[in-house]
Amino acid sequence: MARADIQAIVDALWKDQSEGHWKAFVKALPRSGLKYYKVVYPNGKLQRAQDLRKAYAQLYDSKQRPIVKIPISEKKSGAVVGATYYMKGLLTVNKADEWIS
Amino acid sequence: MIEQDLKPLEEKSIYVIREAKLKFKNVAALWSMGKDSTTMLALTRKAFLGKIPFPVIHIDNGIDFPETYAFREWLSKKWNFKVIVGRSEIKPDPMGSACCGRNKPETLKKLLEEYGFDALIVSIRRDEHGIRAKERYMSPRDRDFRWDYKNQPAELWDDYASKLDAKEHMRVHPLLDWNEIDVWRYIKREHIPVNPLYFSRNGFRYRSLGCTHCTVALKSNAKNVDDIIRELRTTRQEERSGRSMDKEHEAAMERLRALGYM
Amino acid sequence: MQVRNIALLGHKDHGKSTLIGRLLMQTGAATRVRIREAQEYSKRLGRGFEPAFILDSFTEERLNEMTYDTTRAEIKHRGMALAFIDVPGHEELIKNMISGASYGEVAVLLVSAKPDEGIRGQTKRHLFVARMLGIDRLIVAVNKMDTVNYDEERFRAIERGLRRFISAIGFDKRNVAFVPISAYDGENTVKRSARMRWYGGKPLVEMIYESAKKATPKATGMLRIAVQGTLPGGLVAGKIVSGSVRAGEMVAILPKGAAVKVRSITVNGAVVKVGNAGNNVALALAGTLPKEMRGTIISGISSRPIVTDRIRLRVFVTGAFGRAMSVKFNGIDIPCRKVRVLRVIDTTTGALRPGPPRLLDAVEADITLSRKVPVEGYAITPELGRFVLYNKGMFAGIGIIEPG
Repeated sequence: MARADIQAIVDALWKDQSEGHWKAFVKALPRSGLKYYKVVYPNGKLQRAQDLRKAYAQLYDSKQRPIVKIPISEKKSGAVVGATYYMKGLLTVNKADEWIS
Repeated sequence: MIEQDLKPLEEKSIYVIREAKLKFKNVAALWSMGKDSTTMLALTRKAFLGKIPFPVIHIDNGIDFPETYAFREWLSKKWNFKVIVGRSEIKPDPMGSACCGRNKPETLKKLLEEYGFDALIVSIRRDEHGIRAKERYMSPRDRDFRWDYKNQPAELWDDYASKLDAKEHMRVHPLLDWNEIDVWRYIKREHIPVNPLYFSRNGFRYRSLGCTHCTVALKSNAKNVDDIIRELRTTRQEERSGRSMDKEHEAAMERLRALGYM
Repeated sequence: MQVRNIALLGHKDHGKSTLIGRLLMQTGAATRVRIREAQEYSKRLGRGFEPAFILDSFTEERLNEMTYDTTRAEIKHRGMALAFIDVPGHEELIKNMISGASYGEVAVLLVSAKPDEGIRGQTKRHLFVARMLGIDRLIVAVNKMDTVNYDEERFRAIERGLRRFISAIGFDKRNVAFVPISAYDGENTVKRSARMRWYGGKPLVEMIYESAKKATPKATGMLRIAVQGTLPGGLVAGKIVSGSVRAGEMVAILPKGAAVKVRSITVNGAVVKVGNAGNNVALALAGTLPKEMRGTIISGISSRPIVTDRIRLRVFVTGAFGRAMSVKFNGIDIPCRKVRVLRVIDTTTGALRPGPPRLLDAVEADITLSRKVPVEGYAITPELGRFVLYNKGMFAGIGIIEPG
């Protein structure tokens, strides 16, 4: 899959973390060339579900080059919930240089 | 870290798991997709001739590692058991851990009521944390999950507590006597599948698994089970040092435990 | 590595938790984190370093300086794992003490040498319970020797004061040793103390090691399987508590005595020809099985235990001893029909005393159960000779069948 195509799907996801957009991401993932991820909580804080919107996952290709960032939450009947489930198939990259938790 | 004989540990665990199933009407097990609760499932299969005769509960806060979800689906298919997923909320928690603190037991409590479980198999080990040294193989919890550790039923010989008020449920701890290294040696001996997060990537691995928010990778080059066993033989670090929650005051953990945090 | 369980006994404040804390430090078993935590706590409470804080992990226990429930801590010595079970020394927590001591293979009794402490009622009571639970190896550690200037005479006086009681309750004196120590200062715990040169023996941990090495598991005798129940699928699950079972042999299911054939044996998921003591088995049995398998005993056809509803028990009383009791035996509850008290023993002295049994007494009683059970002397097959007594659902005592 071309970089542009996955970028379009991710852009849609950033605009609206609906189930439909997440499903499109899951569908595109196997052929996207994306292999690794890192979940980042920018200020480390997580107090309420709303805070998930500040967090993101950096995705990498098989050579561990950073490609795109995606949200890690889903909007479900108005509420924000965690959505790392949709990232199944990706592997943690554990890159130490940008490790935040 | 002391390496114990695996055979008596295995026998005892199988005895306790069978006892739970045969003594209580409606049993469930907690599964975090970590090494301990997965080993518990492997022991359960040994106890019941290849089957897992009770449902397995995952309390999911929505931000577990993707590998953990993948492992959940892969193993539940491979070993053919039923998984009940309870969705826990991320919200302010007086204990300071919004992801995995008191919010998880709250969800568990609702599940127990909904399904009417009277016994819950939990894969804690005594060597994990100081206060777990006081746990029993079977230990009652009241409706609010409180653990009255000073007033636990006597547990002697193979006679475990069974008297229960309708409001209570029994926590069953078949892995109580295992040490961390014993679990890994058993995983090696029995070829038990484990979550790939335990193995090193880019010089880091996870030693104890929580969710993506509260778990930190530790420096390690252990790439397989043998490496991990070798690493544990020399480490002086505590197992749960990669879990941010434990770094807080110990009393907080104590209160969590009394509230039913697993 | 084989793990030996060491029950740590003694009156409250005689230093049990301090001793384990000290041993954990001296053998390198305590992590730096734990030691630092203990140091912080000691400082916060404004006192010198308390080794007990490594162990007493509940804030409440630290603040009140007492152990409420059993704690387990392991050390390694000469290739053997010694698991210490620290039990509460308080009288009202005797139930928790029994739970802990019931796992012990060797007992270590702590007696404080401090002038105002010494041998107490609780000291003897713990010994009595340990002996009743079948522990036959004992090391008496005379602690707090630092408070009496490491005086040999004080040590000997305590030894003299206990020897007779120890023999009277049935310990073989060859299996009993006395060691002077200071847990607080770490004298004679792991290394020989320079302050007690008059003591010619080995340090405590070495004595425990040797005692544990000699505490060999009982030879396995005749086939006894304590049945847990029927597994989904119809196999019978149980634990072989003694002897061994072979595929193809005939066995008896007690108390009724039905003879059935063992078609197959599964141990830990694998089909085997022979199941041995310690194995948790799943048996396929051919023949007519009792409707309720839980609580039955499987034995060889010609080597059955006695089946009876009348038992003579020696009971350690932990609750209300009365007529409306029930016993828990091999996983099932059985109401008592009749309870007749024969003798009452004061466990702090070992002497008989008149009157109805009171809390923490020992009682010899004839009990008639509401149904027959297969039984044996506790010393022959512990699983068939031990009973937990309940009175209206409350823990009332532990009882064993003595031989004879």
